[in-house]
Amino acid sequence: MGHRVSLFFCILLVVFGVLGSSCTIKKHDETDQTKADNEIEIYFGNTGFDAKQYVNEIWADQVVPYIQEKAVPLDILMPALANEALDVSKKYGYRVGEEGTFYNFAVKGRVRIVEINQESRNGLMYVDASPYSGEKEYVLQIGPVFKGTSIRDILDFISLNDFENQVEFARLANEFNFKVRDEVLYDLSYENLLGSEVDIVAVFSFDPKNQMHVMTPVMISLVEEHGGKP
Amino acid sequence: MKKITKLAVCAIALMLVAGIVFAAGASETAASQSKLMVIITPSHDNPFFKTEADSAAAKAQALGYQTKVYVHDDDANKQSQYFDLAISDKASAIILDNAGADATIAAVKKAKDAGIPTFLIDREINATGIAVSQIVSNNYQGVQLVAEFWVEQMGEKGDYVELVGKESDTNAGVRSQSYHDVIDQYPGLKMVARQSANWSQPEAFQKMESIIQANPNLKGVICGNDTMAMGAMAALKAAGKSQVVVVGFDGSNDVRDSILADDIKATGLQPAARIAEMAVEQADKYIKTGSTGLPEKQLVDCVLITKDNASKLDNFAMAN
Repeated sequence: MGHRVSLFFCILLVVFGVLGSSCTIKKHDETDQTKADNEIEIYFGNTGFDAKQYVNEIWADQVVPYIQEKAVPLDILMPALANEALDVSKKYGYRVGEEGTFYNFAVKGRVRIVEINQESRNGLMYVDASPYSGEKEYVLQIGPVFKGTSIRDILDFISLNDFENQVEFARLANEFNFKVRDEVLYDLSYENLLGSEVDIVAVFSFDPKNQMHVMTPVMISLVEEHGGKP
Repeated sequence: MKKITKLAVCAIALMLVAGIVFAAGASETAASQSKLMVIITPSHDNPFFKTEADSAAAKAQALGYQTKVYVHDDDANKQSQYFDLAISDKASAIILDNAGADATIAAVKKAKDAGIPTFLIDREINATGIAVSQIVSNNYQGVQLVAEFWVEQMGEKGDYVELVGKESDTNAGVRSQSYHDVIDQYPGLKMVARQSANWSQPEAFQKMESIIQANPNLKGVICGNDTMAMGAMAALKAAGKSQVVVVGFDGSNDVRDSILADDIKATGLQPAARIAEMAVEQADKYIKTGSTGLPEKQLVDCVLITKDNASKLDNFAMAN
């Protein structure tokens, strides 16, 4: 029996030693196995998921009608949101779960374009809503680079659970932005639009810290002009 | 026969050692009456994972659970052994920051088959319907914010370097992908080198030293995590190039201090503490009611940390 016990402690010691040292040894091994410089192939395969096709299939039939339906007039939503953010968010906004992400909103309205800034590739269009004051009241991103994921995130019929991982889910959001770039905004010539009136439907994620919420247009149409620009 | 005995003794020894080394703060009496939450994360050498484990354990204890805390060191086999221990201890729930999106599926399924629900934190696995919750830090979104800020700081043009994390780690891929999905839309930004520094500060320092020599016009560095950003920044400062725009990811206190000192320009905070607490709260609700009332996969947004808000950051949480 004594023999057994001493054998037991011997093994205990050995195992302890191996376990204790293996941590550091392992790390060095992996360090040394780095591939050749600049030859890292680290991206996910992401085989089997075609975000572009997915977006093409649902854009016209589901996404645009849903956002149009959900859109709240700018002059109703924005003042209310500034005053009673939480109540208004619960009433008009959408997010998954109780915490961890921002609420997303859809808005609509007639606005006048007061400034276009395309110095950055994340181009911005500032607009003034009726009654017109000439001030920059709201801002829409017009690309060609778009930020954010608000189109994806306002859709209550799209869930992370339906995708394999966050990269697929992210690709979907990017693809929605590309759709806006390529099909909503492609035929607008911004230089000629200053001072024009447009009808917009747009979405944004509400970060209470922001003064102005950058909106992503889902529909923009030039208002027929009667009697020319002011 | 002798061999078998030795093997058995070895196995027992292993389990004992595991208990001694890793069951920090746990009571060894796995009483069937009081309920146990098992918390398994990567090594606490990285303060991010220590914060996760500490926050989960504190919340679980506050809710009246015993806790056992284990460290899998990103080794799926080790992780599997701790699942076996949790099963034999008849744990009420397992809180896990996993050791591999594919390799972990079998372990979580094993626990599920034994009637033990698993709640994943920080990283997801490539399967749904096995874990009860997957509360995922939205790495992609967080890096996107960091990348967008970095692009602004770069004036949308210039030569840059990417330091990637450990290639076997899911998050190294997610983060790199996200950086490039933003940056590659700016034709004025040119990547002159892309190397893995394996999440390591000394390795980042050393690789950065040679990259600096080969690329005199270097204007920016994007890093897959904060420790690599610290290494890169140190090398740049040593070479008299502290104006190079360096960004990281995680939201560590080291990088917070560097941002406040005007060195590193930004990082993305993963709310590790809150995510761990959320998992424990959901586990508790599930144990008591049979449902969390929430979808399995839940993305938690990261927060961009710059000089404007860095002073509010402490231990992977923002002060209000």
